[in-house]
Amino acid sequence: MNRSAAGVLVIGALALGGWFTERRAVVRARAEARAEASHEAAVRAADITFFEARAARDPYSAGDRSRLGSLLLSRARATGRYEDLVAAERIARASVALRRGRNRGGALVLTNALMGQHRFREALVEAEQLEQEDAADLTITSLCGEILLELGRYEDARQRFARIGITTNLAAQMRLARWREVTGDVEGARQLLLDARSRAVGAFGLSREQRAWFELRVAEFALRYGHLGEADEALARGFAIAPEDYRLHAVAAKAALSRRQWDDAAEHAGRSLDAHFDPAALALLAQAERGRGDSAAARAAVDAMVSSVQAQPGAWHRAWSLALLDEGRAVDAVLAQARQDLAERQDVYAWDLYAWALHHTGDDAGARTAMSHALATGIRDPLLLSHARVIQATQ
Amino acid sequence: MILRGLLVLLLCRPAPTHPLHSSSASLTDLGGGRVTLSVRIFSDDLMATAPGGDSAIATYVRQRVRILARDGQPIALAIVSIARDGDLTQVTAQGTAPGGLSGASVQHAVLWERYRDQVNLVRATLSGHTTTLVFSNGDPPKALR
Repeated sequence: MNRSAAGVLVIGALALGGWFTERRAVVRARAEARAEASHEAAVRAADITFFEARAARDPYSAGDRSRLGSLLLSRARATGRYEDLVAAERIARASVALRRGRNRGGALVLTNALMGQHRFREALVEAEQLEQEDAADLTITSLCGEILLELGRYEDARQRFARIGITTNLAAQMRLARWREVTGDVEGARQLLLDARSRAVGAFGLSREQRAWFELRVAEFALRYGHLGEADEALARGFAIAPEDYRLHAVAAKAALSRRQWDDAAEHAGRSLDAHFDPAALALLAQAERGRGDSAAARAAVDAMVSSVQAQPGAWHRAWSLALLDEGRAVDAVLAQARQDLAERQDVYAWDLYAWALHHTGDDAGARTAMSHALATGIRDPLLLSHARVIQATQ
Repeated sequence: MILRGLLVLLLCRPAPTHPLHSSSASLTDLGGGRVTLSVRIFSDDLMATAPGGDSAIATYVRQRVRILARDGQPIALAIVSIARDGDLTQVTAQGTAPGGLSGASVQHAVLWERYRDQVNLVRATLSGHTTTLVFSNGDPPKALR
């Protein structure tokens, strides 16, 4: 063997050794993260049992009910369990009924539980009451702004966000980022998200699930605007914190789909569904299966999505409605849902869904009018712009 | 502690949730035709559907989650454990397909009699490769791939 061949072998062996070492470190870190996440969930479950018992023993304790509600909300966020959200609202109402004054925690649990159920008008009533009690609190100001954004009351939202300016308040910063994105300042929104994410790393008192949430937001945003590298980086950081997070797996599936990496997309969509069932993830799985040529599996996923969404008693999640439209399923029902949604909330995403549903029913004149409302704030979300292009092209 | 709870609330509200009906199972090929099946079902639904304790749960799961060998014969499943984890019950079973899992199929039909919109999933890992099989109410057994 000559010297250069030996050199190549040595370098190869070192590289392979380095790869194995790095791989082992990643596997170990993920196992540790999984164990810690599991421990956090166990502690939360024990805390819930503890505060349930305390609330049962003391029928006059607003504080115990407030704390119990916040724990249930936390579990609802981590697991997506509907029953926890409903229970959080019930407990928070009991807390606020016992003591409205000096019970900011109870009122916040109630507001967030209502927002989680998309009952934004009721949430606004609670948030505005908090705002009256403390108009200088940027967290509450931005909370009002966020709800107004959801309702499409942009002028009112503008007044709230104008009060915020430069801030280190993480909650206010994340909500301000949403405002900037909706009003077309994509780079401003991105900078706020990246800054909040970097400060969240060292923030005191955040759980793993919450730290992962900042990575999730960065990843979603980056993916939406086509910055795949930034999305990948945020996803890797998120998985290092919370390897089983169903929301991270759903975004990872979208990232893989955008690269036409069908096996990866199917794997992430499957893991997301395994951790938390969401019809939107079924749509991702269907795209992945179609991409790798398994039309029967794709059809099974779409059929399951349709069956699951159509059985929902209330308003459908917009992601579900868009997925149904993209699959050409239940189009009339989606249009009816979009009309109902718009009667309640006139935000840009409601107009976009309505426009897209009209387009799918052949009413492109109506779709163009609706789309002009969707783009009125100056939003530059590529999904909305692509819908607008398709609708415009049918003129 | 309460301050920490408030911080949790202020940062990120829950994603919108709905009362969705689903159960997930994982099926792992241990080699030589041996298989482990682990099914997760919401405990309240399970108690309502199969009242009568662990023996009733074991019987119900064996009836509703079937692995069929290549010749269409069901593979006998022995219940290894029934464990509660929060509001979920996890039932683990093991069995052996005499001719191996090649050509085998699976059906996950729990709670179909309770919810018309029940969607069940099976994450099947065969030869190190994992796929997700989706079962809507009434779907026939599906080939393991």
